[in-house]
Amino acid sequence: MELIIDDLESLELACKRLGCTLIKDQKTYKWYGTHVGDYPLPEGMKKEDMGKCTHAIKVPNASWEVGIIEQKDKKFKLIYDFYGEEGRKIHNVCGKELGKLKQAYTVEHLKKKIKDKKKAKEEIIGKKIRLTIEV
Amino acid sequence: MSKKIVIEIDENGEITLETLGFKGKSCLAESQWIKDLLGKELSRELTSCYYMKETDKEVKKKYLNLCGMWLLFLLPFLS
Repeated sequence: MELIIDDLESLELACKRLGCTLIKDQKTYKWYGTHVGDYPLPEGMKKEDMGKCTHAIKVPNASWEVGIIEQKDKKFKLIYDFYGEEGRKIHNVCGKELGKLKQAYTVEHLKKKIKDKKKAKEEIIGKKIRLTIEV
Repeated sequence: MSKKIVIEIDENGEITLETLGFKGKSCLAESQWIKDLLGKELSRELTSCYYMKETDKEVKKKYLNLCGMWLLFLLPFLS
């Protein structure tokens, strides 16, 4: 499945899970600061859009941040600079391509929507999180 | 066997969903809300359970029909 992030509350809970902090209405995120053209720009973004966001995520022990961009369809796009040591610090906490953050979001979002919480069991199996729901 | 939906998310954020204890097409309907909630389904692998009939219901129906036949058959003798 390809994850679509559309719930800020679940994203905030996911951030807490990883020790990050979601800062609402922070309109810029910290990154290298200039696009030098060594990598293509993220899909749908122009050079001047870089560094701008709707909300931001502060990552522990990292100076750079993750930007949350609210799109026209109300879905959120996550953006960050993966370059060098600072990029690695974000990877260490949020995973490569923010995989760990997406993992945490999925779990939090599902748990929020399950009406009978007793029927859901969460387990950590290696690097995977398993959620079993009794129907 | 109790009905369960098992969702596994790996550290790349990849989601896999498995249904257990369902027979027939109901597994797709019962898990649809999760797919709607999380995003787009990229691929699907159907297990043998998907092709099984929901036999419990059929057996009940047959049993009720038989009862009806027997009752009809016995009615002339009872009156």
